[in-house]
Amino acid sequence: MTPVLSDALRAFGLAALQAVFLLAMAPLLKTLIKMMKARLQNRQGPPLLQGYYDLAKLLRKETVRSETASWVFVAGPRVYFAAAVSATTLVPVLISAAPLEAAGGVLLLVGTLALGRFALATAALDTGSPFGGMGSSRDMTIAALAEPALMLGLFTSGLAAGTLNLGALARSALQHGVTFHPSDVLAFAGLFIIVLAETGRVPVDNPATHLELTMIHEAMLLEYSGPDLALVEWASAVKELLYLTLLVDLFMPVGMATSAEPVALLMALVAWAGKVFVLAIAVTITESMNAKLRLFRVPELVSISLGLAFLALTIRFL
Amino acid sequence: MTSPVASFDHVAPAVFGLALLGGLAAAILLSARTRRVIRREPTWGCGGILSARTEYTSSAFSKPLMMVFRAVYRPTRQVEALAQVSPYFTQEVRYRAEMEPTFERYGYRPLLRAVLGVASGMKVLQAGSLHAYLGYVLAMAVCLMLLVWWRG
Amino acid sequence: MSVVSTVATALGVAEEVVREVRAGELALEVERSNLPALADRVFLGLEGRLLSLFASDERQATGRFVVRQVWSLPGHRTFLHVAAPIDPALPSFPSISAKYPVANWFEREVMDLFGLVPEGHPNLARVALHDDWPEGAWPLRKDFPADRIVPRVQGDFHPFRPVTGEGVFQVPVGPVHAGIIEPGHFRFGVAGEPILYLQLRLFYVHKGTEKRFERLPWRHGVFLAESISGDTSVGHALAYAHAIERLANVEPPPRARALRVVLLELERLYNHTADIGGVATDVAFSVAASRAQTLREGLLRLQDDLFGSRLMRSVVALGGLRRDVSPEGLIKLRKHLEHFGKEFDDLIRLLNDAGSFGDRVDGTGILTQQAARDLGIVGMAARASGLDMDLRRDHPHDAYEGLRFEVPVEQGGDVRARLTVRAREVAQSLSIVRQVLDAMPPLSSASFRHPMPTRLPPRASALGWAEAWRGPCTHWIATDERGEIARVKITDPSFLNWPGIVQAVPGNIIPDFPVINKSFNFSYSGNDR
Repeated sequence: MTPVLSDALRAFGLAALQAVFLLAMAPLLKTLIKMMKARLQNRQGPPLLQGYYDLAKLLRKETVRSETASWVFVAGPRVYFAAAVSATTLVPVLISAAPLEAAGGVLLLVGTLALGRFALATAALDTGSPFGGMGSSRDMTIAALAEPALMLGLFTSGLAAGTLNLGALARSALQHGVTFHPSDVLAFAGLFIIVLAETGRVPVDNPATHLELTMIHEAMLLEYSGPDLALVEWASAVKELLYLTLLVDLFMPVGMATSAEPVALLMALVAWAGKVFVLAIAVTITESMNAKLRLFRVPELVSISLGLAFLALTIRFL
Repeated sequence: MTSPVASFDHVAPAVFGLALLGGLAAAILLSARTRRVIRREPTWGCGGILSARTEYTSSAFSKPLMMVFRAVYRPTRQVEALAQVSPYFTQEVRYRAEMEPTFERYGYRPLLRAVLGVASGMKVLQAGSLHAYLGYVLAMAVCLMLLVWWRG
Repeated sequence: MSVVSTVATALGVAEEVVREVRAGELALEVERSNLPALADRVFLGLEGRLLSLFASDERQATGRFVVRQVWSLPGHRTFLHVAAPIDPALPSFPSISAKYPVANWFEREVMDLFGLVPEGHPNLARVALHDDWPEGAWPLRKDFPADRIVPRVQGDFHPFRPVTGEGVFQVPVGPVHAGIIEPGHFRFGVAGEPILYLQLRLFYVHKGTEKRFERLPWRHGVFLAESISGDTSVGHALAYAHAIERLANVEPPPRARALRVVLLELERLYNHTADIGGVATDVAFSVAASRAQTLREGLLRLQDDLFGSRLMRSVVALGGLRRDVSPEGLIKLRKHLEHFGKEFDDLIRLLNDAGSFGDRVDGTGILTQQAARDLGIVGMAARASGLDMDLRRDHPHDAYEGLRFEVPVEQGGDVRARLTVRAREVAQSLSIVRQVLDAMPPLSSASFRHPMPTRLPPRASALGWAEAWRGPCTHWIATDERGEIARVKITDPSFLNWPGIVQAVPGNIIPDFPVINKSFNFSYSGNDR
């Protein structure tokens, strides 16, 4: 019994370490994208640490809640945060293994994130604000379309590797290296589109807007303030970093450490940061050069992603 | 390279559950307040007052999905602006929306009909006669005995 | 046949009844009961456009209220004033709104501010006053002191017209918005994303500007006029100055008139550019949006440099301009606009080339030509719905008479059409400024301002107008027996145009509303005054 317990403790410790690492890095990514977007518009943009300042400010601030809010409203951000944090333990980041990969693979990851999403969407409805309902309804619509596409995209990679375990997927990708196989390219493009949708980026949602009527994710947060808001913002940032890391794991595994040696880890850190940075540039350019889609055009975008995943799958088995 | 805890896979889901709880605990700790009370204000109504009429409705909530899958649901809508003197002086707007109950019509209804059909066929067996029931029990008992005898 | 006799014939009145008050302004007094029949004749016989409808309290002088209409008769290049005296014992007048919805808000405003009831109006709800204003307090009557504070009424207010059906609810937006914009309340009747019906509630920034004018020396009026709508400071300053100059029979010197054209066109340029950027912002096309912002900022700095004010305040003066521009300044202006023109073309190309942008603006928020005509929509919004009208051409003011320019008209009536009209107007404005600069009368002493008389003629009235970037700004100014201001009626194009959005929005989805609203970009302040 003891070795099981000690291994479980060790896994839990590693999981906590990875979660803390991603929590620490996530605000940086958010600000980095904002900064690069600003530069593309000839603006100065926020300082690189702005994300941390914002979180620190929100965590210190007073909490204002609606008179009509119930426990659902209070639970929303906490469950959303917990879901995002625990999802980090399923995805390999620096080492080609995830701390809790044995618990489940793709399905558990998507399910955990969906749990957070559900909690937030329900909480948004709780106060009776029409904007909350609007955001919630739109977010659920997009989720209903994007989640199947996300799963199909991940299954495509999974079929090639013969596993749905994210650690094993990363190891298989590492073994094959970057192939530029047409099926990989197509699968990547399909997943990238879904990542944009899942993280509320243009052309699906506009994270920078002040127009309540056009919001999706932000509309759900309008009633939140102080630490509650900080939790949601932080968790969203973690989610985004997690999705980009997932893309890195599946399609650009180069530089990932295979053991926990300090030198290998350091190199893996540099490689990971570089690859996430490249993806962040891609997100920035997409956000800058496109207008937001009309709400009812989003299904078309998702169907493009589905089509790409199908094509990738077909090519893989040709 | 193997997973760090490959030999203890069976406890991994429980550890993941713990991770989820850990995340929740972290969230609660981060937002914990020692002194200050939480301020309660009415839900933001853009400077106005919200009422029951401004709450999101269930049909509105599901509307976008209905529109996305219009091929399946085939929604129809009718908006009627009532005006007496001129179309620019609307007095009331009436809205009616319907959708094709696709799943009900082509899924549940046929299934229900089939089940009901079978059930009403079965009714013959079960017409309420005590003698008939005793007959079934007897027949069943005989069948079972024959089965036991034959197997044994 | 003279204009007077043509108009008299078309109206079916004797020629002596129609007076030519001054060049481009005809006046006619009628019995109030004749107002509807007269409206028919002006609309059908003269193809007139109602630009304003208001009242004035002339009880001290004549013992009567007067309901007044200002019509543009573009075919005859003249305005027509119709005045109908109202006996205070019978404070009402026949409404023409049912037949001509353009009069809808005007008539209700007269009811709110003067207590004269438009009989037969299909919707006698308040428009200018809010529901917590007490009954029987009519602020524009002369016996209502400007500093009077009225007790507010408590209660359940403004019953919005019902939208019924399964799952229907209302989305109230405003008057306080998340962005830094002016206050206005929009109430959407929806059952999900598609908008079934839209209702407006404005006048949150009603400042009593017209009442304020009545206590202001007429020489100081330009400053108040400039602040009617911050983005139309030149337009309103010119409309005010024109009216006073017409009253005083003063014509500004040619150089001042030429420079006034430059001012008005600069205002058009920076606002159209900002609006194009605003539409890009609202559909999250950030690169195009910030390029438009940069272009606008460049113009504002140029204006600051040339006139000492970013928004060209305190430049227009009665009789001309407050200051002249040096020859070097004019060269700088020419150079800047040349550069601006190229950059602007690049911006338009960027927008047109982005498929994702086109998808958002094509077919969004259509205001049909029929609705635009029926509602009396004016200016840029009207031209985007296929109505060809422009005071600069139809009733030329300042130096527009001798300039060659076209009036861009688009047929679509959607967000795209409004963008295209703006882009084409920018090209026209650049050409107009170039022409003015080419033929600029030389700098000489006192060439930019004609002296004003010490007094205005008593008991006189005049119309001042200017085609500002949104559309026609008109100021009707009347003097009392001392030659001081008795009444100023300000009509911002937004007041005529706001009802148009109610027609353009239903059928679109909620997230498209902001971009539709932005594509019109009406003024709240100018509407509410």
